[in-house]
Parts: sequence; structure tokens; C-alpha cells
Amino acid sequence: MTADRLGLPVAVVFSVLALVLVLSLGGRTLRPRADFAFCNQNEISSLDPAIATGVPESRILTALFEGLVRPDPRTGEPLPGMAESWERSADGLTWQFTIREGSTWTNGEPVTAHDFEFSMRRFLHPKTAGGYADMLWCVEGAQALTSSGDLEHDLWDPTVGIEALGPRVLELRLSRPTAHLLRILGLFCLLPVNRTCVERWENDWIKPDHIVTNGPFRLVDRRIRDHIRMARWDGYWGVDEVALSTIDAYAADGTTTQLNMYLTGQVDWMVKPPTSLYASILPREDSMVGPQAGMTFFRFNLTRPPFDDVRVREALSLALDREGLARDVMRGGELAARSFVPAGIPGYDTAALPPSDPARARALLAEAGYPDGKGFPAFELLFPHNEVTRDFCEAVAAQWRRELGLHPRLVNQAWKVFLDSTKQLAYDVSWGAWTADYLDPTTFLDIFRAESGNNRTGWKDAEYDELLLEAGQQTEPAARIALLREAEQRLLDDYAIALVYQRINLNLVAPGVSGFHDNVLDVHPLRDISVDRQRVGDRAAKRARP
Amino acid sequence: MRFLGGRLLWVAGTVLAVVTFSFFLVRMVPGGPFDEAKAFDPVIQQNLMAAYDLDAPLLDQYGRYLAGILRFDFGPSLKYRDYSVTEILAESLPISALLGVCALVVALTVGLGAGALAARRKDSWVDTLVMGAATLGIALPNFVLAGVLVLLFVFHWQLFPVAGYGSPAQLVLPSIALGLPFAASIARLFRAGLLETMTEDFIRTARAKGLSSRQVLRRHAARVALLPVVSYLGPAVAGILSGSLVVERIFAIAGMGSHFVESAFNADYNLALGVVMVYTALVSLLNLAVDISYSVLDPRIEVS
Repeated sequence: MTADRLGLPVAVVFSVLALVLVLSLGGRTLRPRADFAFCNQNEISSLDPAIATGVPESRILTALFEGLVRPDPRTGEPLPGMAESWERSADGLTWQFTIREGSTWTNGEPVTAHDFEFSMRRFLHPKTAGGYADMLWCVEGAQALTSSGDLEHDLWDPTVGIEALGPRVLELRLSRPTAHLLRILGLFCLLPVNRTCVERWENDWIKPDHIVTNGPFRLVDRRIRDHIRMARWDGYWGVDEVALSTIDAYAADGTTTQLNMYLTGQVDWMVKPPTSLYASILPREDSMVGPQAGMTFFRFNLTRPPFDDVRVREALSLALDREGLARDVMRGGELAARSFVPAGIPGYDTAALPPSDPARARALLAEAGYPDGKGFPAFELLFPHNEVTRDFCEAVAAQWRRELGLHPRLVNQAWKVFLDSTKQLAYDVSWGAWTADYLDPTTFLDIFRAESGNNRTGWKDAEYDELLLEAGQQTEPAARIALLREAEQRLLDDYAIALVYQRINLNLVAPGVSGFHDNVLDVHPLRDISVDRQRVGDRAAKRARP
Repeated sequence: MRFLGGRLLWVAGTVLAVVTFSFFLVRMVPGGPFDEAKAFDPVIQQNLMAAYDLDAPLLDQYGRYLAGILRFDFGPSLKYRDYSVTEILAESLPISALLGVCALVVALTVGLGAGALAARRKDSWVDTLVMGAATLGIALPNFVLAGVLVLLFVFHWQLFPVAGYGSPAQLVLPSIALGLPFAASIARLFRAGLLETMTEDFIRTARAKGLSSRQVLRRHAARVALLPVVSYLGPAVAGILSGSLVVERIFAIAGMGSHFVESAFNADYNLALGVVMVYTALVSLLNLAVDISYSVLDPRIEVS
């Protein structure tokens, strides 16, 4: 009797557990491995190009959609995409794009100039709340549309200079000649969306069952924080150039997990393996390293003394051994910074930063009233919580201690808290980084305009802002570059930031994958990637398990 | 029945209290959902706050949030903007729960088995070995265990896939990594419970009736000895079912565990609240289940 009473509950519990197990696994069909699989770092924020932000998003969105231009796999520079050609008026203010024939959306509709007019207007509209809508504020009336704050504002407001002049011609009227317009149009936030789909499903248009796309691939299925499966879209104009038939993008946060997936052949590409393993990863044949159009630096808070004194800022900057920090602390092949606009921006001859000079740094600090650091107020060095950044900041603090007798206190914060602190100027000196959105100096220089939300230093220079404004009006490329260079020199001379190094790209790409090129934008369109199944297959077969 | 009704009301009250507290707490942390590395223009920030109704007075937001909960609408995720919180929970909770069930099977089978074995062979080398292993199992964090499992069964013997979710083979290592530390605790509790029960009068009576020690153990002692295991299991099961941040991260399993921490870091207010709510409800309900099971296991205890 008693034995039954114990046996029964235990038996019931185990049978229920077993049943759940069988039911959950039994009905699941296993997905065969895709032609090409990669680790896409974090889960993406959205499939809607207008509201998505971030690099993992750009990898997926540029596969699913194609804009007027598409990125060159070798350089990341714009190539003709849905627009087969374009013309610019002599004053640089009017652009006409001719839309390619023979490309269809996944719902069968042809891709037309009207799609682009709708998408760009929607992108700017306050109701869409597109994060980077200001990228298109060079278009006449665009800023006013975004800033209207009126969620019911007429989408077709005729004062906005975006107009389809028929199904194959799109006209953009700009408020200032924007020499780098094509590069802006290559940003993923300007990828087109399908009007029929968006109007029918509204906020739900991005659901896998509803979404309509026009790019080289279409969405097959998606599970949050797990995978996105894509397959080649036959209605794409360049479908003959697309080698991959299926792609899996995995969201896996941990870099060690990603590396394990790569090493066991579960994925063919991963970005940024763990820094602690550089010594064994960098010599590998399948690691692809190169400079990135991105900089790491320190911001000074100019609203707090003594950092309002340019001599103090210059001293802190000159005291840093940038070569040493790049070579011995970062260790991935980072380059010591020579300017704020990194090397690799075509046509731009970067301004020059003087080499490190501890002796001069000490003299400047003494001149500012702090010989050997005596009397220098206690200050904090703020950085976002992250092991690599911590090691780097410790090394920097040690150099300031050694060369100048200063003792910064290291303070780390969670990422969002860090962003808030720097936004509120609640710091003394803070770690900072910036990467290019496109290959133009303005992607860097713009952030130190007085009213930019990314300035975060309190540094304001009317002359600097004026130079950038003038450059924006220039139609003559050489004159424009000269103005930008002059602006950069002002920024460097005033030491609003202490530059340290130019960042690197590091990709692990399986042997047998081709069409994957290192470039400073770290852009690798899936459209142009192909796989030698034999070679990758061998590698995967060695490891293949259900 | 009246007891159950009262307790369920209490569960609802707990959930409401926790949700209210968390609602205001998450909003007090500096750094909002739309603070990005590349800052949005202030105008756009404003548009975003308006689009998500975050610019309304706090009490209005709270009122609307509570009204939403009653309709099982936990609002949109502020980070994963293609999903509502309900959709995210519906996709990720079953994954965590399935992994949790597998881990529970591991924990109960290994834990109860080892505990009973150690108790029967008290003070022998078997007992020392099992209890030694259990102590190690409790002391060892699960990410170390996971690392060792990956080294052995993925890289050395190549038996299982390293990460991901979708096939039964992909669940084996994470289930073991998640379940074994619990098995260790269960083994210790069960052994101690058995040994204590063996000295009780009703056991002596059973022996006097001529039952073998094996029979005594199985029929009489085990039931009472399960009590401490059961009270431990209540909260433990809630933890196991709702997912483990560490194990899910290491094995790239798209469960709910990662959302616990990530949603707070991302300032995804709605998702953080949704996860907290599910967890609170699970813990409260499982504690209730534990209380009820006491009376089933030991007739001397009455529910009241």
C-alpha cells in the first residue's frame, strides 16, 4: 500500500517528463544545413530597414533588400543596384536615378521608382521614428518632415524633394550639394520597403509570413535569438550572380561559443573571435585581419576644470605611447592613430597628429600649474564594462601615472549607463570609439559639430562648424576635401580628444569560401559570396553530427 | 478548495507587487532604451519616445501597462522591435522549459539514485565517493562544468554538436550541465533525509515486522526522506524551467534565461517586466505545489 503511494507519484512525474520530452522533439523537423552559415553576433533589432540600427542588422538587411546602390564586396563603395544609372545636375542639387527593369518583389510586383519614393518618405516620417532619419536631411524639406512631431503629417507632402517621375525615374532635390550622396544611399536604413505589404500589415509587415523583400535573398524563417534562414530570390535582377541558395545567420552572444561553432564547422564565418585567443588565432590561415575605418580615443569633458585648459588636454594626449598601446596592449594589429579621420578614406589626405612626446607633455602640465602632477585634481577615467576595454584603460592610466604623475581612478559602467553618463557630460575623461558608416570624412568630422548628439565633450568651435557647412556647399571635390581637412586640423590642435589607435577587422572565414574580401568598412555582401562545397563539405563532414 | 483559492489570490498579489516595484525600478536606471552607440538626433529620440508612449506621465504609463496585463498584452519589446513581449515569451519559454525538463530528469535520476546508494552504504567507500562528487558538483559553477563537457564530448570524442537548438543531440550537453549541480544538492538532501528517517520509530516498527532493510528504505523511509528534496525542488524547478543565462549562452540556446540579464542591460523595460512576471508567477505557483505535495508525502502534515 505504502509502496504504491510512493511509487505512483514518482512514476507519474517521470512519465509526464518523458512525455513532454517526446512530444517536444518528435514533431520537430530538422533543418538541413544551409549552403553558407555564419555567426551574426547579436540578435538583430528589426528587419525593418528604417528602424534597424547596428552591424548585425546590416548583414541581414543588405541580403534581403537592395537599394538604389549596393556595396562593392571589395571596397564597400556604392555600385549600381536597383538604380542602373544616375545623373546629377551641374549645381549638385538635383539627382535623377534610373530604376533597373526586370527585378521583382517577393510578392511579384515590379520594383519601381514609386517604391523608393514611398520608402524614403516613410523613413523620414515621425510616425516611423527611423533612428538615423537625419542621414537624409540633405534632401529638401526632409528635416522639416522628421521634426514636425506630427504623427499624422501628410506622407506625400510636396515640399519634400523626393519624387517618382514615372515608374523608372526617381528624382531627389537636395537643399545642399552633397558630394557623398551615393554613399549615404548605400546605408541600410535607406533600403526600400514594399508599399502594399507595409500598408496592409502595418507594424506586422516584418513577420516572416508577411514580409516582402526585393534583394538577392528572401526570408524563409526566423527564431528570435536563434537563427534567420534565407534563400535565393529568383526575381532578383542579378540572380545569376548569386551563388548561395540558402544561408543561415545564427545569433550567438558569446564569442567563445561562436568560435566553437566555427571550429566544429557549424558555421563558415565568424566575426571578432575572443581577444584573449589572438595569439593562436592571428597566425591561422583562415583569419582575415585588416585596418577598419574606426578609431578609439578618449574624450575630455571640457566643461570640467582642469580639462577646460588645452595645455592639460595636450599633455594627456602627448604622454600616451600610442604605438606601444596598439602593439602591446591591443595586439591584433591595430595601428597607432595619426589623425581622427582614419587612413583608408579614399581621396582624403588626413591631417597630422604630432607623435607622442612625454617630455613636452610634462612641460605643458607644469605650465598649466601642475608640475609632476602636483595639485592636479583627482579625476576619473570612465569606460564601458568589458574586459578588453578595462585592460586597455588600465594601460593608459599607467602611462599617465608614469609620465605625468597623475592618478586617474578607473570607473566602469554598463553600456547604456555609460552612454547616458557621457551624454550628460557626467565624467572627467571617458573612453570613446567611432566607426565609419560610409567612406567619407564627414562620417567622422560631423560628430564634433557643436550640436551633434555624439560630441559629448562640451567642445564647441564655431569656425569648425562653419568649415563643415562650407564643405557641404562645395561641388568641387578638391576644395571640399581641403575644407574638411582644415576642420580636422582645428579639432586635433584643440585636443578635444586624445586619439589612440585605429581599430581592426578580424574575420574567420572557412577555406573554400570565396568572394569574401577584407575592407575598411568590414562590409561583406552575402550576394557575392560563394562556397566550394567540396572543401567546406570536407571540413563539415569530419565533424557532422545530427 | 478554500485554501487553494486563498493561496492563488496571494500569488496574484505577489506578482502585482513585484511588477509594480520593477516597473518603477527599471525606469530609474540611467540610460534609456534608445540610447545607442551612435546617438539619435534629439528630434528622433522624441519621435521614438512618442511612438512607444514613453513620453507620457509615469502614472499614466503604469495604468496603461496594468490594463495591458489584464489582456495578456505585455507591450512591444523596445529592443527587438519586430516582436511583442508576449511573442518573445511564447517563443523562448517553451525552449527553456524543455531544456529544464531534460535537466530535471538528469537531476532527479542522478540525485535520487546517488543519494539512496550513499545512504544504504553509509560510511563505506561508496558513500564517501558519492558525497565527495556531490560536494564537488555543488561547488563547481555550471559554466566550468559546461566547458569541461564541451572539451570532452565535442572536441575530444566528437559525440555531440557544440551549440544551437533544434535536434535532440543538441540538448544532451546543456541538460547535463544544467542538471548535474542540482543532482548534487538532491543527492545530499536525500541521503541526509534517509539517514534521519531511518532512526524514527515507525521505521523500527517496520523492521520489527520483519521487512528487509531494502524494503524498509523503499516503502517507508523514502517518502518522508523526500520532504527536504521537495521543498528544495520548488524554487529550483522555477529556476531550471525559466532558463539559465549561463548554460543558454554557452550552448547558444534561444531560451528565456538570456532575456533576464540582457533585457535589463538593453533597458528593454517591457521585456524585463515580462520576464520578471513569468518568473515570479512560476516561483509562487511551484511553492504552492510544494506545500500541497507535503500532505501527499507525509500524512502527518495538513494543508492550512
